[in-house]
Amino acid sequence: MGKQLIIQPEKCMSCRTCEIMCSFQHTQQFNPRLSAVTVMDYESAAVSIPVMCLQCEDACCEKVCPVHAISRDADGTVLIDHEKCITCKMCVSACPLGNISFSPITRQVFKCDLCGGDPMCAKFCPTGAITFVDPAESADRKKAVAESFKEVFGEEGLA
Amino acid sequence: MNAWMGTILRVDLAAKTVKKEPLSMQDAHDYVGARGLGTKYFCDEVDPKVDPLSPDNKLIFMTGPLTGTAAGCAGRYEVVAKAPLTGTIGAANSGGHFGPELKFAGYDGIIFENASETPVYLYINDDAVELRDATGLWGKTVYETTDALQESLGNFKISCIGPTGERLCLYAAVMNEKHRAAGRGGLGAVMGSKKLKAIAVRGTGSVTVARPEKFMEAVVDARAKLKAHPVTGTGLGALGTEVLVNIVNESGALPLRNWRDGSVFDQADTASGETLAKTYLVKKKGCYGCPIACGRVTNVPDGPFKSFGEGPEYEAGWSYGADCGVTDLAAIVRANHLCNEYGMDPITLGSTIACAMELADMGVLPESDVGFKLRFGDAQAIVDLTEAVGKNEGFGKELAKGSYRLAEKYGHPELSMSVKKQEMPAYDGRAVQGMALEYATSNRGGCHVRGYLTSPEILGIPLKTDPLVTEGKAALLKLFQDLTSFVDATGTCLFTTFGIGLPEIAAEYREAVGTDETDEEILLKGERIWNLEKRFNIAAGVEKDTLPPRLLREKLPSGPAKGKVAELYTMLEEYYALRGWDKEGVPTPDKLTQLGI
Amino acid sequence: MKVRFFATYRDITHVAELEMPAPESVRGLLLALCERFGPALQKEILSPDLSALGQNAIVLVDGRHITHLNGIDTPLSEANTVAIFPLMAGG
Repeated sequence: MGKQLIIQPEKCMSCRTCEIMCSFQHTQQFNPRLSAVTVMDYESAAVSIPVMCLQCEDACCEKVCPVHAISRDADGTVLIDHEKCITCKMCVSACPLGNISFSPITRQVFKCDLCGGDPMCAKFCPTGAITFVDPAESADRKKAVAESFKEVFGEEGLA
Repeated sequence: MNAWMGTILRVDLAAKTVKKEPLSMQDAHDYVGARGLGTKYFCDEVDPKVDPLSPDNKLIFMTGPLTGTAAGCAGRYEVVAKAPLTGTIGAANSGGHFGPELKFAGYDGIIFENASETPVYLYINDDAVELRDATGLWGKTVYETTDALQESLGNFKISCIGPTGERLCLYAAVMNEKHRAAGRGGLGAVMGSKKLKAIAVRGTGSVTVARPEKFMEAVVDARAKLKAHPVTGTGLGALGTEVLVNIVNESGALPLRNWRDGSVFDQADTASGETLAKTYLVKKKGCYGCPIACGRVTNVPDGPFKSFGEGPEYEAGWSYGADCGVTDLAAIVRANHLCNEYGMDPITLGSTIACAMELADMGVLPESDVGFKLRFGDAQAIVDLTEAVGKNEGFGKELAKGSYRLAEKYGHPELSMSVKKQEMPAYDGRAVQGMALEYATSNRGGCHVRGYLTSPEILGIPLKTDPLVTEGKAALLKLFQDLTSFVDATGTCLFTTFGIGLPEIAAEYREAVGTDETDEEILLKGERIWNLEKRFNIAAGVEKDTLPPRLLREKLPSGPAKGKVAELYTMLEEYYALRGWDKEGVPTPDKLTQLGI
Repeated sequence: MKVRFFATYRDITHVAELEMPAPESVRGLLLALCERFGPALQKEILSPDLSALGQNAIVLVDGRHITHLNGIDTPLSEANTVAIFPLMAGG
């Protein structure tokens, strides 16, 4: 319950598998432009970053929608109700992070919906640059630091 | 559609017309895609005797049915033309993201015909396709061209040549995303001879498959296996292809100093994947949809070889390293970066420099021709000479023709370590007998990758065979060559075959295109592709299958293969027989009929 | 006798090459190395029941893969060089 997508860009190697799997999951088509996650690649800085909706607590898209088509579910996922949506695209303008898009193919706005609880991007990311974790338990980076200390200061084979 | 976009672009560079024609679905069915389909179009349309640098040569870019899908490592496409370096049918495979983008734009491939009088590039933005003036780009490096086009056009994927392709260097490459290469055989020179500088593509469409649910099952299965396998799951990503240096060397198969000094190098570790990971590796990189991530982003932060870019891969690292007797990894990395920047094949260039080093050692290549005293082991020389080829200066003009023409000019063509004028990479055929057979028989000359018997002979994947024996190698090579032809033609990466095999890749292919053919029927398509290429080569008048005299006659002086030569003729007759060819290596009419060629 | 380690094995042994008296056979060598470098190496180079070479390990004696010699019972002498690799590939 309440898991979140966590991005660790240092692990991203710009394969874009996340984009491919996301688009297929939602449309049965392979098309990065139908993906709710986009990999931004900075070739000369040797860094790439997958970017997707981070399910803001205080969601601008939800606030601005004139027909209340956007709401949060029990897990905190911000979802678009396409029955109510009139595709005015104000949410696209409202999101400060650019994480809602309009597709000329489907003629609908779309955003990350966490695939109903089993996000494909995290499932198929080969390096763990995207993971789906319980934020209360997630301490990947803290663990990495602690593990370095353990190697230096800890004793082997005590137990 | 069933993985295909259904449209081929046909571009007449002289008339400046662009036509969209329907993809030949029969050919797509018979020849799978990419390398196979591109070669089929080429063989149907071009006279095998054509001069590779004349306007009558055609240049074909072709994706595969799986390109752009979620299949494992499905970012590949092939560039096909008659190769200037060898005169064979040249097909070079590349990764990155260009291939998928072409499909998203709505096209399976592009056929370029004739030549433009002035520099042009092809602009593709979904339906909008046109030739545009490239006069302002002519003369620019691969990096400059890519940056300039992306600055003016936006988020387009760029395939282009560097100044070496413009000047018709016989091993100029076609580059995409700056650092990925359709590298061997000089297809960049074909592009340059047509005054075609670049292709810029942006696509907003989708690739769909015939049976989406079954396809995804096959994909999930393939990806799980790739992840679980130690090579595709962790090893290659951690250490890159350079991880091969030490095992090839320990197996006594790392050719040293133009293959003159045997194949054991006590300094091999200076340029290994382990050393690269500790020094200049910044991070790993993956092509489109690839979980393996063998790509290397590398940076030499300071010193005389300060440089940022990608690579080197194993064969390029060898050609500049052990082949030239060089142990300075920074210089090797810099030389490889320069090859990407100028758009040249580092395997050929490094080997050509090695050949020049031997000629200089022998005293037949005068110092005045080179401009300085050229010796094995000179790290500065490999960088300077690479730059000279890139800039077309001094001795670079001679080196730009490859090792065969260089060695011939100085009276010793036998010292070009090449087959059909293309340099053999990085595995000594005297120590790895199956590779000797691959080099001799490969359809594009000295090529390691199309029948990569190093995998069973040295690495033990998928099973371990003895590199020093000839038994069984002919049969194994036919299988590898046919399978590789098929994998290349699907538009997925050959490296998947370290972790998965024909059943998994055939399953992805089957569900994507919507066929019910068996694995055997699908593998037959690979055999068909191989025979089509061979028939073209024979009609083109390509040399017989053989090896340089050094491999046939000079015994290895040391290592586990001490005393061995390449026992080519022991294997060759059996190979021809297994392929259903006559004793001269010509596909028989029966064989061609059986394959429907 | 020389023993060389490569690729990810170097991360476990922290050394690329060492010299030691030659055990009787490759089997003896592998057991000795596991004693020296611990469970991290053992799970790579030996099968779980310690009776066979680990399925992802490659052992060369003087450049010859032990599959073509006498397998894990290949005899060793002081003059040998043994090279130990994890399964790897490239191209």
